[in-house]
Amino acid sequence: MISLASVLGLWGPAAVLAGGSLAVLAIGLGASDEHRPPAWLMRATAAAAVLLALALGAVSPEAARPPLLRGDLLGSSLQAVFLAAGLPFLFMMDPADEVPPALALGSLIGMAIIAVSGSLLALFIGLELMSVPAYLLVARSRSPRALEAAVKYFFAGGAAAALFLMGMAVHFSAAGSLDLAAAPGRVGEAGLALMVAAALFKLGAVPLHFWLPDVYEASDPELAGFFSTGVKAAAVLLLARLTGISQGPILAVLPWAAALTILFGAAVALRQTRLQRLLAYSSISHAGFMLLAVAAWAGQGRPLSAAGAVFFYAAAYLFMSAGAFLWLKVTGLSERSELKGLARSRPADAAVLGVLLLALAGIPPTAGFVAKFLVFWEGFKAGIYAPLVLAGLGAFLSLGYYLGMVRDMYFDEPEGEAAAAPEAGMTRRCLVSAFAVLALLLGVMPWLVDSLRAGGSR
Amino acid sequence: MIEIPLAVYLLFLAPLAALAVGFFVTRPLKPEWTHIPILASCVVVTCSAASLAGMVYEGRGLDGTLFYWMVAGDWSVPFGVRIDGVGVSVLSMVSLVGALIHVYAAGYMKGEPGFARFFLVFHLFYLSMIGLLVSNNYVQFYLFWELVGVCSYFLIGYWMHKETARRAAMQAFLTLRVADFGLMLAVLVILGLYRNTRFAALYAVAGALPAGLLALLGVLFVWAAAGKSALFPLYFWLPDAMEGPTPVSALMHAATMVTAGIFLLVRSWPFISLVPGLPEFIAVVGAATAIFAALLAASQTDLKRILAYSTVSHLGLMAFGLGLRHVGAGVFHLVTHGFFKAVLFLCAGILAHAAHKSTVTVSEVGGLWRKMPLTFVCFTAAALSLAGFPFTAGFYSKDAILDAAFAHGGWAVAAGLAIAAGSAFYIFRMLFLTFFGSRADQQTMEHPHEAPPVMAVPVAFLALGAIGVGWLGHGLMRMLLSGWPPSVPPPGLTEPSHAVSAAALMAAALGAGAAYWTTMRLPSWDWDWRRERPALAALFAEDLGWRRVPAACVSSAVWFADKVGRVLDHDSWDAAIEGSAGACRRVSEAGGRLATGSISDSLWWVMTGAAALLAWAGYR
Amino acid sequence: MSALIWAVSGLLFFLGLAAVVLRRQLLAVFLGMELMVVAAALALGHEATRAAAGAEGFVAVLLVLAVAAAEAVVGLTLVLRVHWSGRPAEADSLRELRG
Repeated sequence: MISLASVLGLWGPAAVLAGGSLAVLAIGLGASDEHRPPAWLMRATAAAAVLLALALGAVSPEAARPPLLRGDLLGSSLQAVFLAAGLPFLFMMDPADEVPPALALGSLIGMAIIAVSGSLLALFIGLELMSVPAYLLVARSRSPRALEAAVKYFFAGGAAAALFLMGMAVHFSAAGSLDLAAAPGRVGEAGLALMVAAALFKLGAVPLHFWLPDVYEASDPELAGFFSTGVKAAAVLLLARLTGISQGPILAVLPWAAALTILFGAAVALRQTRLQRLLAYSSISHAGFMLLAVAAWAGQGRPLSAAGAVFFYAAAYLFMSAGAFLWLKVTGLSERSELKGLARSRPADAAVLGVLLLALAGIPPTAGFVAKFLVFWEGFKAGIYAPLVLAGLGAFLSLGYYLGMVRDMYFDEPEGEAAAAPEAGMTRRCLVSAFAVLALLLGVMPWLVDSLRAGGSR
Repeated sequence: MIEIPLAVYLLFLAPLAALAVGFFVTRPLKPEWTHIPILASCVVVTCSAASLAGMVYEGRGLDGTLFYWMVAGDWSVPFGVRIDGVGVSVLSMVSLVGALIHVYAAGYMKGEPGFARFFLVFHLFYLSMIGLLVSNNYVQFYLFWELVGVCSYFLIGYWMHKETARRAAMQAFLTLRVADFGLMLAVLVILGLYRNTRFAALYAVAGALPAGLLALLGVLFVWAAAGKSALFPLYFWLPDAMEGPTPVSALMHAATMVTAGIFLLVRSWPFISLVPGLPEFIAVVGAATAIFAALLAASQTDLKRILAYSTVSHLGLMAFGLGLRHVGAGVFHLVTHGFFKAVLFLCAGILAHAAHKSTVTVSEVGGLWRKMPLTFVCFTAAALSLAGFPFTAGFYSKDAILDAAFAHGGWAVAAGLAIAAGSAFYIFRMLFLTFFGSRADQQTMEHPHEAPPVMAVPVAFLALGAIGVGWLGHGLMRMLLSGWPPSVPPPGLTEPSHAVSAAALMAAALGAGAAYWTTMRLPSWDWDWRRERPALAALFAEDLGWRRVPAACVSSAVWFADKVGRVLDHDSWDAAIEGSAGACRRVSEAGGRLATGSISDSLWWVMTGAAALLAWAGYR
Repeated sequence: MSALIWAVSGLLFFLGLAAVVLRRQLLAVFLGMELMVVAAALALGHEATRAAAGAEGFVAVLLVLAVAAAEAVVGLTLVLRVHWSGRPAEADSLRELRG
């Protein structure tokens, strides 16, 4: 028995997003060359589709099990995160035509499919639908190096997809079906290893991360913000789905991969001079924390209570990271040296970034602190002590650049002439400030997220 | 459901409202008015604290949850308040002294370019300390503990154009992180065991804990407290933190921040007292810190640094009292110390203000008693209190600790008397050098002038407190009984025996006499010994060589890591910071070099990662 | 039979992998990637004939090929754009982003 509610809840978001994407394309195609439709119309259509999808995603789809699909709380809550990540991206982009909003919606369709997927095949299709528009979005960025980044992203992503596919075939041979169920024996675990490698690639875990800084650096800041929050949340979900079919060996690797990722990302971020690349390495380090949260959750036998850490980290990171990237977009700064003395020349901008950086660094009472605390706590319960110590070390290292940037802004003399503030719209500035406020607010009242999530699941 | 009085809410709401008004309204519109909402909030907080103190005095303490920060599965983090004797007795002192320092700061910082910023952070500092004092669980305690640290970082580094200020702020911040780590571990251990960190619940089960775990918790608490309260090996940051404006030093030393460590020890006493040997250890560390810092205070020339070392010394004295298992005496001294130390710092600030400098040394002042009579009177009152002269506040609280020392006997008696004599010596040396005589080696200050009323009045009030609060000792003990953990013997003041009082008085008189001898009879003795024995002066300048020890440890460790083995000749703690930064930089460069930018290399790494996972899956 | 098909599939996969990792021309790398995908599709299709729920496997092969085609369009476009930008379509000509 498949109820209407379950169909809406499962298929609804993807269908609405697809409809929105078609609508955006239709608006673009229907207009004549002289009268281009205004950018805001396409953005508003796309945003309306995302909002509708968010609303539909809140419908509980847990009871029914149509073929290939499965709804659960983790899926629907992470779906809320990446759909929410799409909104500021749509709001901040400056589309020349209808293609970028349509591509953004296309990428979100893939994520929405991952969110409700109940089989490896659906996971693969979701993964590809998410990735292919992403390559094109990178290629259409304004940076002169966008093409290079897109090529790198494409080739690495394609190879990872091929790995996933081969893993799927191996798993199929061992299990006899593509359901998300454990396959017996070493063959099954080998297939899983390949698929987990692909998921780790999407997440940007070391050493499968080399594409990530290049892509984040050459993308437009708002796109990099979308990648670091939306795509990352989807990758976390992909990995979480895969841990369900493991018999154990792979799960033992994950905490160590997380620790390596955290340490490596933080260490390399220390010496970055370009802000977008610095944030890219910082996002690698944060991805390590999300990986650690998944590992701790899986290590405890996947209880719902431990999934809270995964969800909270992704949600908190949405505000901190998207906020930081959008801040770059609004202020037009690109080099770390330009931060020096910013508190004097542009105090409001400096304060917003300062809050975001403190949140990223995990200083209480920000959302970043609560998120890290939850991860450590779940890891403690899962008994992965040694990786936790390494993760703590990595978090300490990361203070070096987060607080370093705060120090640059507040305690250093400006170098050369202070750059004039670009004419960014007031609404955009308000949005970025709102992200900073939320990053702070979630730290003071984390029950907000919990109650939101609980409300969404009911 | 217990009823929570309005005063409890006001403790948080008034400062938050004042900060909001200050940040969103006065700071953009009229920055020089930022102190107005904040001073109003100080009044509200002080009145609330007084009403709570009245409640607790009548034995009506409370411990309740205001709301939940987060609930996840079977555990939760509540935000609650614990209004009990220990918390409220310190809270009353902190709110009153803090409020008066706020008033003083309004005069002291007038016309500074960052006036609004200063006041907002200053008040946040005050709020965090108040939140810490009324927390009813360790998680909340830890959050406010961290917030206190962050605020202190910004306040110490307030004059950010000064290299020394930035460095001192960084040093304080890093040292405090080391301490915070200890507390964080302790909180995690407690969470892991009980999923509940409320003091009330933990006090009840402390006795049932296995000995090993208890010892671990106790050591972690002492570690955290030693860093925050600048006890022996971790005291460096406090004297260097004098780089901040004087009101910051006063607030930090008298009321907020450093007392947090002692307060943590008191809060955690049910755990610590059960660990065999740990209280004695605290007593020994406290006594060593107190004597060591008193010796250094006697050798300093900068007024604020003398007082900073004096704070270190008195924190050691409080720890000494606690360690001798007279918790009440320790808390009593914490309260009285808040008053007289605030006066001393604020007087030093008035002198600096008169000289239009951020700090003055004893070479720049002298014979000021005639020109600045009010400052002189207040300073003398506080100095008498610090030295423990009869019927001043310090007399009662120090006697309570010395009583404990005499009850313990042996080395504690000698240590207690040495501290008493040392305190009297350095504070009277400072008094004589600053306010009396004119020495050949001293320049006289040009046009010294008395402070404006907005600064003088709070100092006068505090000076009255420095004399008077000692008479409230028995009331304080009665307050402490409210919510006192049952496993710990109740606090109380024994009537100080005349023998103890006489011994203490003699020690203090001896110290004061020695100070008179060296500064008034041999007016240039203080300069002479430095000139004649430069080696000795250098030894004192680096804290009897102790500042070299961590530097040596760190540099040898860095040398070990760094095969090049370049010689580090930086000062003490800086070597640690820069050395570890160097190691990180090398790792970071190696990591960055891997990112060659080549697609082939990137693909190679993807395949390597996949192969490694595959190999692991096959191997298992 | 099964072993033979898996051997062919494995061989194709590793040939593709070698091309991906070792070749410098973008088109060659791209072909290697497609080879890997085809190898996996071959294995999937073969297993579908053995498994009880066979239809699932065939559906998978069809969808995989469709997705691979979509990916190929994007990939070839990118390679062409590199070519039009005046650079040789080789891995080493795209090394500005690094560090």
